[in-house]
Amino acid sequence: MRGKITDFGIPEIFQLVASQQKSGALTIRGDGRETVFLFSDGMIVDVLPDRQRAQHALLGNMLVAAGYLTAEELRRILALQEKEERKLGEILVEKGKISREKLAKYLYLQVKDSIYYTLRIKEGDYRFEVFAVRPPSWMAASMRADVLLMEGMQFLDEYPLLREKFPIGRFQVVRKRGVKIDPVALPEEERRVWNVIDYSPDPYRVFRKACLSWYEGLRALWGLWDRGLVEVSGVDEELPDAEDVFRKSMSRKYAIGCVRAVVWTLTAVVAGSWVYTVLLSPSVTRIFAGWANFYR
Amino acid sequence: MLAFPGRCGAEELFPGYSPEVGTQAQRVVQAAGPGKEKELANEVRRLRKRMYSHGVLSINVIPDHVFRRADKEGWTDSLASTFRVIAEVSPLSAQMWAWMVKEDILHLRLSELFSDFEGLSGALQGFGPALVGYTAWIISFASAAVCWFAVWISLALFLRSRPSLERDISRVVRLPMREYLSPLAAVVLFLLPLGAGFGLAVVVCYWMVFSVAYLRRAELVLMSTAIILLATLLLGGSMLHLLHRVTGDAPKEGWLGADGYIPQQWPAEARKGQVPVGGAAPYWLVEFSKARAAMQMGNSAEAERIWTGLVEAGKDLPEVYNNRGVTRAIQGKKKEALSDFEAALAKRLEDGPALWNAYQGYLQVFNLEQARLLQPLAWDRIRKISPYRFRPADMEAGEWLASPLPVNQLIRVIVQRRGDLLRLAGEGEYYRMFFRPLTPRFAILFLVLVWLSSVVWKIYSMRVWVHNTCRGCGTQTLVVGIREASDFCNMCHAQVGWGIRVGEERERRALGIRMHRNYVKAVSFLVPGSGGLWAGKELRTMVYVAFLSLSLAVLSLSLGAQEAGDIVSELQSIVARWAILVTVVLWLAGAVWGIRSFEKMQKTIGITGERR
Repeated sequence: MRGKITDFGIPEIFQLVASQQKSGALTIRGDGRETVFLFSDGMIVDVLPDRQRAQHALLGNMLVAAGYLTAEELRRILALQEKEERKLGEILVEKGKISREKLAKYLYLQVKDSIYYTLRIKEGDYRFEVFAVRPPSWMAASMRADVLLMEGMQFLDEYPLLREKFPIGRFQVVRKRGVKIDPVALPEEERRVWNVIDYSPDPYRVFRKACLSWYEGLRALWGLWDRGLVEVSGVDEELPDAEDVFRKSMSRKYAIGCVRAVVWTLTAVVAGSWVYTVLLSPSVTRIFAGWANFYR
Repeated sequence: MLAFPGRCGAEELFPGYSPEVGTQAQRVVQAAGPGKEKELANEVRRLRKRMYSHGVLSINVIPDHVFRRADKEGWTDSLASTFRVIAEVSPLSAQMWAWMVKEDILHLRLSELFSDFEGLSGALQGFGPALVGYTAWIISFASAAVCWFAVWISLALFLRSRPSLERDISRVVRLPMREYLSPLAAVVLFLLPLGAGFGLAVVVCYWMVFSVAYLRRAELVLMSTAIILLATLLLGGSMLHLLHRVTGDAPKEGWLGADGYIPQQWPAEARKGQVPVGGAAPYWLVEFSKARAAMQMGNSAEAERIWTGLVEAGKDLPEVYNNRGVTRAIQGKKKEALSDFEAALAKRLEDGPALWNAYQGYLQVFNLEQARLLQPLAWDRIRKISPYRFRPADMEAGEWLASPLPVNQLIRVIVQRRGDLLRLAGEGEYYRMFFRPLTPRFAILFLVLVWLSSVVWKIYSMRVWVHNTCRGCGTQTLVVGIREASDFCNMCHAQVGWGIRVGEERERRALGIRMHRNYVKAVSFLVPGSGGLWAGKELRTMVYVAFLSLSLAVLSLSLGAQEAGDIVSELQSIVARWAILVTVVLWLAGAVWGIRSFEKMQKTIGITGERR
């Protein structure tokens, strides 16, 4: 089955595959990128984003943004993946880098992100090839395409309005000073963002850390902002590279440790000389040795 | 003949003794040498007879002269056998016995060790300066050990609290560049009392007060122990000062050493014949000592006058009657002498010297029936008087046995003056060393205040936000209502090692753990045993620090006693060498134990052994 999106809309394609409980690969091409969704009995079980054009939607990059992997670790694991021709998630779980549950959550997020993006495509074509697809072993439950579509449609309606509330271009977010709140009182998504709000000033990294899509994250952030819990401000310049920031913060921490070690080593020398002066110096030991005069 | 003491006359070597005794004592010193024990024994036997005829019990200066000769001529290794012979005439020389005990230990001569140790024990109990010196040693040793213990514990506790303290400083004091400046502020806080020149006790209390908010309950026990011990330091210092006040500063030449030396000077009060006040020497004991000196110098009439004065003053001790009997017997007043010996026996039925003298007295007045009755008991008693080696079978020339100064009376006098302890506290050198700038009255109050303020501050710190440092990984969290359980962070409680997550969080945690581990290792090496505090082994740490403090205290005491070039100096230099060895071993063992305990604790919570 193949055709143009202008003739047969993306929601309809998803609904058709889901309702007929087909298994196979649905490839959607548009906006200069190609995204492949894998179905098993009408359920979405995996997605293959465009490696060149949609790097932010790749699982490895999502985990780096969320702070679970460093860029260097990802590079090593990707090299291994290429060599062994295995799925990235499989390697990460096997090496104990991430738990199975966490992987399932990020895979779900990846599919959701891809669908949200795909729904925005106005021109392009699609192709569905039927073949048997077995769900990956780490996937706890398959994803229902109709549910994701509902969320996606809501996203299409609300996102432009929501985005207008935030500064144009890039912006950053920080916790408001002196604010105290019991996070249990917050709605689920807002609580997830609130719990990791100190992770980075970059909202994209915060949402990745909270395992939320950009749209869900913005919605939660607006809630927190509206409650006066966070401060949002635009940034004029480009945000520094996350990896660089992390490396610098580690170097800084190490440097502070070294400074502290040097300072306290010098202090130990001073304290040692004081101990010598008060307990071992000739003037003191002579006083301690006053007993010996009784034998002389 | 011999370069030393040939150039010196008996007068110079043995000032104060009668020429007869002094000349023979000089011969003994000249006869001493390696392999000359037989010749020396003959000279010693002659000297003993002359000493008994003058009421001299011991000439302690002989071992000192012999040691100086041996040191100069290089035969100190053979000194033990020479001293064993000389012990007959210098039984009250504690340093001579100590030398023999040392040789017995080094050469593993167990049978002789017991006998020499008994001699040492007897000299310490029977000779005034030796007993006071021993008491002073115990007090000085305990004081030095207390100092080391308090310094060690306070340093360990401060370094245990330092990470949390630094964070709280940066939180409370709004410093610019706080990450860099808060360690410097903590250093300034630490060094402040040292720069101010405060005494040891004040500095230690200062450090402990700053640590208390971050300590566990068992660590508070350590702190309280240190404070209580510091209070004993105050009393120890005043006790030493009182000892010096009572006995004088130069015991060899002072009134207290009359049974081993001839005293050259007397306390001012005794000279004036006035009743001494405050912490000065007790009048009647000084009189006793003066009478003994007069006996040894051959002034029997003068001695008799003093003894009679003491009896009339109510100090009718058996020793006084016995000694007056000896002076009278030497002057030929046999009946008066016998009545004195009987009076002494009436006071103390089994007094060895009085029994012997009475036995001799009965022989001389030909009351053989009484003499026969007394003989077995008299022989038995004088054989058992340590450290003297009286051999009744050899004492056939009618020797008289004088009674030494009853030093137990001296201790009683000092104990009776315990009320002076606090009053004298501020006058001793110890006080100035350890408690400046406090006034004596405020010192005890200061220690009580430190303890009370620590308790109050600890209770208050459980109600305010303070930083807590995880013992396992070094993670610092701001907590309130701190309890023992919060010693470990949540990650360590969950035993997640370096973290289940990977990436940045894991790297941050790993770096934190590495830095924390390096810190604990460095602290454990610099202040051995403190690793035990991080591992939660507070009481075992206290036991270890107690042992380390004891060895360091021995070092403190022995280092200052090495300069005089006499027997004591030589012994103390050996003690110092052993103390250094033991301290080094304990130091290394404590460092290793602390580090291993800490690593074991980390392993328990799943940290140690993981590698990236």
